Amino acid sequence: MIRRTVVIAVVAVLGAMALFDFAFHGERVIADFLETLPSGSLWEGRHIAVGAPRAEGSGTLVEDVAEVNALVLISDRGDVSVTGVSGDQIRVDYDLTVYAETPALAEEYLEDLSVVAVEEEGSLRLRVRAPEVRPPGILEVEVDYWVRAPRHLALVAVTREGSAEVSGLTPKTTLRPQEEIKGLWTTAYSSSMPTLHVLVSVHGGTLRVSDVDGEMLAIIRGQSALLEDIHGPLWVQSVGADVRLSQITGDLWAKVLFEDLWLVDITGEVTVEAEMADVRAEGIDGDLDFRVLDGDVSVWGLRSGAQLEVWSGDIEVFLPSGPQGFQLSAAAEGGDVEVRALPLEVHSRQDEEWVSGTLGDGRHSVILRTLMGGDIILRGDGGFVVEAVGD
Amino acid sequence: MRLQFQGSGLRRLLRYGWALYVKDLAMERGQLAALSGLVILWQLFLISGLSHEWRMPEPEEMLGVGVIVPGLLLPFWTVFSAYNGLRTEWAGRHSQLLLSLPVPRCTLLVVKLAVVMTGATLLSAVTVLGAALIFRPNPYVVVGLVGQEELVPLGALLAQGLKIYLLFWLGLLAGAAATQFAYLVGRLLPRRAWLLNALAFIGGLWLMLRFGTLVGAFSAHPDAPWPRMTIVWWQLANDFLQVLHLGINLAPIGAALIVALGLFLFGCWLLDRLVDA
Repeated sequence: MIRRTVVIAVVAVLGAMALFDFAFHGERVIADFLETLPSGSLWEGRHIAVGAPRAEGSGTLVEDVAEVNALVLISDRGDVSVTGVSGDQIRVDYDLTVYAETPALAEEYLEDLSVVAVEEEGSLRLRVRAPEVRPPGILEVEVDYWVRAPRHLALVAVTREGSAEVSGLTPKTTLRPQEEIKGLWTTAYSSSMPTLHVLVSVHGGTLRVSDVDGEMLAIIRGQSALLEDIHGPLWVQSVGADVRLSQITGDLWAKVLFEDLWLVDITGEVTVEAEMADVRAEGIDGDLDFRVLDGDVSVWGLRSGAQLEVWSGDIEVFLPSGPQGFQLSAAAEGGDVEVRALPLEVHSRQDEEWVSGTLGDGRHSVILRTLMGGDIILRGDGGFVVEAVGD
Repeated sequence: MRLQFQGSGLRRLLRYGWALYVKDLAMERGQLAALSGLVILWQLFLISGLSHEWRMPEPEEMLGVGVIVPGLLLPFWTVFSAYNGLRTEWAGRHSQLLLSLPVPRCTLLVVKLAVVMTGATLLSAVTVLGAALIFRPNPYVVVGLVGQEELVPLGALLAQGLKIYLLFWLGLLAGAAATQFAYLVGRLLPRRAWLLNALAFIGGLWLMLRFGTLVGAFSAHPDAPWPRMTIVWWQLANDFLQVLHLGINLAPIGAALIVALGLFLFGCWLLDRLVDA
């Protein structure tokens, strides 16, 4: 009898916990589980079947580039790695892979291929030398590059199918507005293209960039990107990639579609336009200007002005205590405003809730707005010694 | 059917289990035949002139509705069947005979689970084969890969479909185990058992999801040493064929199945010690 009672009690408690969890988190209980299932993804293949016959070769290219200002590497397929080194010599190690309908065709075509460096108007361009007409039966050519280049070179590194790694560059000159760069630039941030020192673009793979001085544009259409230790203005455009940007000294413009954006330790102003993406920011010194559609925004340790507008998503802002203060205005249309550990009062009218007031010396203007049912959570970590003035 | 056996040990267990499995499957035969007939009728309705108002003239379009609708109903049938399979034994007082046989009582649960999953597999097969025969769709049109027959073998396409179905099947299995557990817990109460049934079922599913999520969070890194399944998929982009290798972390799925196994074993213990025949 006792054991029956214990079992019934345990099951009742378990059921009650489940009901509470479902009541408070709803479909998140299932979504959280489903989100743990994907474990990396890799897009590959351009006219390549699984197990297609292939032939592989490799080589090395060494060039003196004392008279060159920029390196241009545009690859149709393959990974690209560029590391800045001292000196005036460039060393290119490469792997060539030919996919064909038969092994013999692949081997034969591989013999006709080589990687060459061509100097054009002050730029060194790496390309694959191949017969003008690709024989029938050749499916694709893939080249993986490992480049060690003088760190003072400006860089264009584009792979239309693959991953890229770039590190250790301090370019002295800007890139010329070549046709391929114009084709990649969009008017998402401004109508005119900036003068760039580094342009990196990946499609289908991952991007890793570190230790770069100069103005940079990164275009990511792939799995993930990690850009860190960038000193200079940065433009980022991503589709379908988790992007983390950290230790950026300079202004940042980011346009993100799908997946998430994580910003850490940025000293300049940050402008973000995101769709179907969550945005998380922490340690930002410059003003924030976010416009997000279908995604949540969280800002930890806000210490600057901010204008955050979110359609169909929540905003969570963690305000630090300290001498700095905020002139705050937050309104949630169709959602709730929640204030934790801050001397602010929530007002409501019809389906809108809002708070407004001044915290500390009010030197930073913070305007938060959610539309279409998003909530706003304002959090303080210890509170402000100065009472809120005005309302 | 008389359930009377001689011999001992594993042989007796297997003979008892097999006989019960065959008996139960025979009892489910009518229901499975009726449901299979309904699925086929549904698919015939879609291809007949009667469904023209829905404007689905292409077989590939009909395939979606013809397979997905029965597929969505399958989890509900699995839960119903798992619950009803046990309920009928107690309602008809057959449980007294079944639980008095000289084999572990857990055998009853194993057999019932096997019957439910056999039924679910048969209904899935009828749905897919019926759609293939009735609609006769071009599989390459269905997946948007027309003209890629040489590069994407049909066998490779089917293999990916089977992998996805395997995950679905495991979900059905876990749901059936939770249902059995819920029914047996409900047997502990003389009245208002439905309330305990519901709490146990929801609690069981919740435990699987949350434990799976927890394990998933600790095994999320792609380089973590956990078993993985790769689902390959293809898409045409700008006239190029791209291949997606999507890794599936099996750790959270395994964790959820371990919970399902735990519920199942707990159900065995309840049946052995606390549930009255």
